[in-house]
Parts: sequence; structure tokens; C-alpha cells
Amino acid sequence: MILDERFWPDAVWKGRWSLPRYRNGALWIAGIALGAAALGAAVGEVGRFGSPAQHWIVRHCVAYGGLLGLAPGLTTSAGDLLWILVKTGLVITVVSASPVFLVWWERKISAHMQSRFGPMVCGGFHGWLQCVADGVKLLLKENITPDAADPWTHRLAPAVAVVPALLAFAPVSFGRELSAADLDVGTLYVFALAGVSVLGLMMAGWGSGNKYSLLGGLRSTAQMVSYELPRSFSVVPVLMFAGTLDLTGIVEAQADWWTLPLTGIAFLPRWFVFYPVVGQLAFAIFLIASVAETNRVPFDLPEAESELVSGFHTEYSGIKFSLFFMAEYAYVLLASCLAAAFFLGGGGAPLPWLTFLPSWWWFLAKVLVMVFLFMWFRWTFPRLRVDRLMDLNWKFLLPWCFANIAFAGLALMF
Amino acid sequence: MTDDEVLAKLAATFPKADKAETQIKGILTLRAASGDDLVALARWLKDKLGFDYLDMITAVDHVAERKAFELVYCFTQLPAGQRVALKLETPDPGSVPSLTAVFPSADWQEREVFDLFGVRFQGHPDLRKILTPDFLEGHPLRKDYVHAKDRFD
Amino acid sequence: MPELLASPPLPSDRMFINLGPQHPSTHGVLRVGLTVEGEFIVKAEPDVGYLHRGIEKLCESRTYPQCVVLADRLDYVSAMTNELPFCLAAETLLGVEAPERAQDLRVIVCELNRIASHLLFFGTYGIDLGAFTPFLHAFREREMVLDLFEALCGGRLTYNYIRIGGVMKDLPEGWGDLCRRFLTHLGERLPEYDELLSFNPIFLDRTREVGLLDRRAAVSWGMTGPNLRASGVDYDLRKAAPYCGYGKVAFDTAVGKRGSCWDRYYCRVREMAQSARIVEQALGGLAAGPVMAKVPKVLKPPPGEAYAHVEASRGELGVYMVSDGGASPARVHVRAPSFLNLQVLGELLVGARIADVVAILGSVDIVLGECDR
Repeated sequence: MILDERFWPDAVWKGRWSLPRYRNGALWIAGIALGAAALGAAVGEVGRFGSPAQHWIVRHCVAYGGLLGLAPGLTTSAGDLLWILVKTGLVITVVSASPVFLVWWERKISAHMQSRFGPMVCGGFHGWLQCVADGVKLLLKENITPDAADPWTHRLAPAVAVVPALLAFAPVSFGRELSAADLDVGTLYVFALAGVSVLGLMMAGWGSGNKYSLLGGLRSTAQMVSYELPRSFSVVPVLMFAGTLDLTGIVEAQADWWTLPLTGIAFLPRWFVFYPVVGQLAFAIFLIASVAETNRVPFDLPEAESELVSGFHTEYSGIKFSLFFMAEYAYVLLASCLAAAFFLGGGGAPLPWLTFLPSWWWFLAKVLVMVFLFMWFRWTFPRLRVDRLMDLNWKFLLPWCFANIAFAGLALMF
Repeated sequence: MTDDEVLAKLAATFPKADKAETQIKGILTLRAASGDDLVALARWLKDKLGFDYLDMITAVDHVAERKAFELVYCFTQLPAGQRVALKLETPDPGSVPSLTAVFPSADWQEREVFDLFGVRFQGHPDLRKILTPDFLEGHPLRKDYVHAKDRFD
Repeated sequence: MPELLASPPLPSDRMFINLGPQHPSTHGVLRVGLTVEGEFIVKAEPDVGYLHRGIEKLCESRTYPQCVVLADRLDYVSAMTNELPFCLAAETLLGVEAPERAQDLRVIVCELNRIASHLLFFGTYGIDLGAFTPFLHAFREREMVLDLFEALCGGRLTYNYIRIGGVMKDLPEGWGDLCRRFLTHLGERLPEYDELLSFNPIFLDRTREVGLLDRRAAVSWGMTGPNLRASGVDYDLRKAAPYCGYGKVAFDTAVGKRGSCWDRYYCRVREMAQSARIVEQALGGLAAGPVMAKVPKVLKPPPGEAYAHVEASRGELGVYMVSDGGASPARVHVRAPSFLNLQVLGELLVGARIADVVAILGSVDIVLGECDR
């Protein structure tokens, strides 16, 4: 049996299209993509339900409030508050539930890149229930606070790490008229909250009472504080071109297409990533800085498994560990949403005849592509050493950021 | 250089050293007369004859027959690959000068011989046990070693 | 010694960290006591002996063929190259020589084992530095080699295939073709590994300037194998003193220039390609005949001493055997390359950063089974 051909994969790789399971897999993927597109086209713009839903809630609040004899002003405010709670609930649910999907995706992508299968058993179809099972397992684990730890610092650290991620999703517009809070200063708000998460990691490192965690916490603080700068500065050209800090406004500024000179056929969307030099540079710097901010390989020195045995979250288990885990994936999702919004045109379709697919579908597609990029980087590159990481930031990314702002200024003049 | 040339040079410089009784098959085996000669001989092999690579240091327990340990050293001449072995007999509770000044790679090997046989090396920077656990007393590779029951038995 | 277990009294700006014995990157049970000042290492003391099983003592109460079984367990990653010096030493003592076909088969399995061992090194070195994917790719290839060995002798990790007087049994039907298919497959994968890891700028950045060991230091600290060749010393036992069938095959030695971690790593990657070449030639020039010489059932070599050495995957593995005429050897000493290669850490780590410790330790490529015996 050992000399059997089935166990030697090189024949498989050369003739992969002859294998039924390979063809089936390809058909499945094509089917899922087409099905999703059909669903999108059928559902249409979900954002148009926002306003009517709000009015419906307020009307009913006023009606019931009137029955109880309350003042109309009070009930309209109650209705507005209820609407805000509904939106918040939706955003928090989506953002909290997405790590489950992202973890599954990460495991499958990493497995296929490493020529293996990944989870296949749990839940039947390619192991999609595996992460739910893992989540349940993590929740059921013992919640340990080490003796040497600073108890409240240790306990609060995961919360301080996760909450800003959830809050930062407020101004992100998931499509047309699909943002939870239409803030004028959306960009500033998002970056401010992303900076608060550093505190959570520092608390984790310090509060664990462990030399390795301390080293990890210090490294992560230095790394995250440093990489906030190129991340924010790389977005400045985008702000200069769009003229507004509002995320919805930035997306709308990219909603047009460049047309060919004589025929008027649109060939390229006006996404900021396609702007001649400025866009590509800004996108690249934003991407690198985001990978560093979210502590992912090649910048995952704070949690370097092979050197510091999990770094700042060495002493965490159970639900606190799962909160850190969730925080990392929430930040990855946030970075992908921001990249899609700033550089890839948010909900805009690439070509005019593709607008039958709604904006939320395009936004989802772009976010998934960005998330795939994050995961691809993780499984391809080795890890940077801490001083090289700092060098990369201060001596390479930041100067190019400033140069990019100058290029943007020049571009705006002409 | 051939074995005879080595022997000739040896006779000229170190008259008391000669070929060992039992030769290692295929390798010219010399015998140092005493510990004092050892370091000088090793240094001469390294500097003058070019055997600058210390291959192995080990000991063989001949206490039952001769009341002595036989230390075996092996030197190589890179890149040709020619070898020369050196033997030294040392009495049972005995000590031998250390070669760490001439060959830094003798460090751990001498510690191993000390650990397993009990032969002490004078001039070694840090002579302590290396392979056996800390709670083990005695020198296991000696033929008269009797294993005392410890907490794992 | 008690002073090793507790932190020694230190001035206040230095910290004592234990790397191991339980640590994801110490390749076995090794403990390195690091005294660090900030991120830089001031003193490093490797502490071995956690895997000491007393193989040398055990050999004294086993018959010669039983000793070969113990030999497998030394460098468990490449077991065939461990059995070989034992068998060569015993054969020298007995005065027998294995038949030519057995010599060729020994070359084939030792080189295949070298490929498997270097694949493991390649994978684990990538993981140490944070690149997770090369590990699985390397193990996919290693799995093929282990499949070949399983078809040959039934074992995947410890084989007991090379016996005193020859090898255990001849090749099964079709094994040669399967082996050639594997070699073609490996030849296509090695450029991929180069692209994925060897010339990756991040990887180069982390290993090019780290752990520099010059010629003189490498020779004086007793390094052998790819570690020595990476420092510029062109010494390969298979060429300097060919044993078994190595005189019949042509191959290049991979010699590095600067003795950095990257040189040591890349020497091993190049050696994989050369090993594939050797196996190809050996398969083509396989002599006909028996695979086992006539040796008596109970082996009692006449009194004498023998010292046999081979170029194992980690360096020069030597076995010094003393026979007193009985059925068991009077003394067996294993000159383990990992034991000597590890000594250099005390000097090499001083002045390096904590992040470099793993890179340097991984590049020396030790296996604790061989180091501690």
C-alpha cells in the first residue's frame, strides 16, 4: 500500500483537473460566488430601509407613548434612542460574530497554502463549525488570574483591548446609507479609538506579573505607538483629495469613473488607489502600517510564539484569551474596512455596468479581499526583529509618508 | 605526512613519548609518557605539525586490570583529514592537565569525562557535571559503579 | 548544582532569563541560561543533559548487533547515519568488509536520510523565525522519504537497517523508480524553497549579519559539518576520507563565506541538492551481489580498538569502540557533533539580542538526543 500511487501527491498536482474532487471544489466556489451575486442583485440597496425603519420605530414609540399619556417630545426622543440602540446592536453583533467566520477562513486559507486541508469534520461541510466549537471550548476553560498578577489590571486588559474595536466601527459605512453614525469627523474618531487599544496591551503585559509578558507588552506598546504615525499620515493625501474627514464623503468622492478620451467608455473607477503615484504609495504604507498595528506577522513580535511563548497574552486563558483573540480579528476587520473605504472606493462598483450589484455587496467583496491579503501575509513571511521593525517605521515609512503628502499637494495643484 | 614521518619528528622532540601498545585500527596512536608532556605534545601537534582540530576526548576504564584510566585524544589535520590519536594513562583517583588553553573545544568533553569517570582536569575553567542529573552521585561509566536507588526507582 | 537552579545575585540592571527546557524553539530539551541587559545578552550558559539516557553505558551490556539498535536513538532525526559508524567500527574490529552492493545501499539510505534531516531543519528554522508555511512544505517532502524507508525496512524514524556486515535486506521491486520520482519532485521544490524563504528580504535581514563565526573560531571550537563549512573550511569527510561507496559518486561541497546564520542555513539547503545528486548516481551504479557479508551468529571480535567516523547530517559522527574479545564491547564512545557544536553558543550569543538567540540556536542545528546520548 505504501508504494501505491494515491499516496504520492506529485501525480495529483500534475493532473489536478482530472480529479473529481478538484472539479467539484471549483464548481462549488463558482457556485457560491454566483449565488452571492444573485442574492446581492435580488436584495438591492439595503440602506434604503434605514430611513423608513427609523420613522416606523419613532411612529410606534409616539403612538404607544400617547396611549400611556407621555409627552410627544419624550417619545420621539425615546424612538430615536431605540433606533440608535438597534443600529448599535446590529454593528456589535456583526463585528463580534465575524471573528468566528474569519478564524475559519484563516484556518482554511493557511491549510490550503500549506498543501493540507484544515478543519474538515466538525459540522460537515469543510468544518465550518470548528471555530464555534473552539469558541465554546475557550469559554468553558478555567479563568485563571496568576498570584503574581495585578488583579484588576489583569482582568480589565482584555476589555480595554476589545471595546475600542467595537466602537470604532460606528462611522464605517458598509454601503450606501449604511453607517451606524454619520460622523463628520469619522476618520479622526476611528484613528483615535484605534490608539486606545495600546493601553489594553500594555495592561496585559504589565499586569501578568511575568517577565516574558512584560517584554511582550513593552514591545507591543513601542510597536503600536510607532506605527500609528504612518497609518494616519498615509491617509492624509486621501483626505486632501476628498476634502472631508467623513467616511461617507470619502467614499462618495471615489464614486466616479475615468473614461477613455474619445469614446467615453469608463475603464477605471476613480478609487484613490489608482491615483498615479500618490494612491499606490499611500495604499502600500497604509497596508504595512495596518498589519503592524494589528500585531500580525510579519510584525507579530509582541506575541512571537517561538521566542516569548505568546508574549503579552501568555497568562491568559478562557474567556479573557478569547477576548484578545476577538480583538485581534476585530482590528483586522476594521483595518480592512478602512482600506476599502479610503482606497478601494467603499461601496462603489468598479465599472458602471456592474452597479446592479448593490453597494454593500461590493463593500463586502473588497473587505474580504483585504482580509485575505492580511492572511496571505501571515503565512508567507517570517517575522521582523524588533529593532528592524522600528527602523522600518521611522526611517522608511514615515519619510515616504511625508513625501507622499508633498506629492499629493503637487497633484492637487495640477 | 606519513605516519613514519610523524614518529620520526616525535622521537626528535619528545623522546619519552612513543607509539602506543594498542593501536586504534587505521589511526597512528601515540602514547604520552605523563601528564606534564600532554599539553606540550598537544601544542606541538597543533602548531608544528598542523593537527589543529581536536576531534575527541574520551576515557576507557582499565581500573580492574591496570588501576588506571586510559585517556584517548584524537586530533585531525584539516583539510586533508589525517588523524593522530594520543593516549595517556592516569591512575585511578588522578588528575590530568586540561587542554582548554590549547583547544577551546576540549571544554565540554573534559567535563563529560569528569562527569562519567571522575578524572579531574587541572586548569579547567569550570569543571562540573554536564550530562548526569544533579542528584546523581558517583561516576556512572566506571566499571565499578553501582547504581544507588534514587527517587525515580 | 544548586547555583544553576536559582537566579544568581545580579546587579539591578540585568535580568536572568531561562530559555527552556520547555520552550517552543529549543529543538529538544535544552536550557540556556541568559543574563540579559535590556535586549542584549551578556552571558549565556547552555545546560545539557536533560536527554541523557546512558547509551554508552548501555552498550557495554548489549551485544554488538543490539548496540546498533541503540545507535538509532542518538540522532533520531537521521537514524541511518547513526547506525553506520557503529557498523563500520564493528566491521573494522571483526575484519570483515560489507559487499559492494551493501556499500552502495548504505550510501543511498544515508543520503536520503540527510535530505530528510535537512528538510526538518529547513522547516523548523522557518518556524523559529516566524515563517509557518515552509515547515509544512518540508514535511510533505520528508513524508515521502519516510514512506520510502517504510517500504524498505518497515521503520519511519528508527530503522535498524544498516547491520554489521551489510544491510538488512535488498531493495523491494520498484523502489528505485519511486526513489527517482521523489528526487525529481524534490528538484522542482528546492527552487520554490529558495523563493519562499532563502532569499526573502526579511529572512536575510534576520540571519545575514547574525551569529558570525570565522574560520579560526569554528575550527578551535570543534565545529563540524555544515557549521564548519559555512565558515569557509572546505572539509567534508565524504571527500577527505571516503567511506562506503562515496568514492564512486561525484558531488560538490557547499562552502559558505562568512559563517553567518544564513551561510549555515544555506549550506544545508545546497547539501540537499547535492545529496539528491548522489542518490541518483548511486541508484544508477548499483552493484549486483549479496547485501550481507558472512558474519558469525554471535559476534566476538578479537581484542582491539577502532574509531569510525562518518559525515552525519549534523557534522562528523564518530564511534570509538574498544573490544576485549567478549560478546559486548568494553567501551563505546560516541563523538557527537551536536555536543561539540553546542559549546560555541557560550561565545556566539554574547552581544546578540534576545530575538537573535533563536536564530543562532536554530542555525547550529542540534539534536539533543545526539548531544546528550
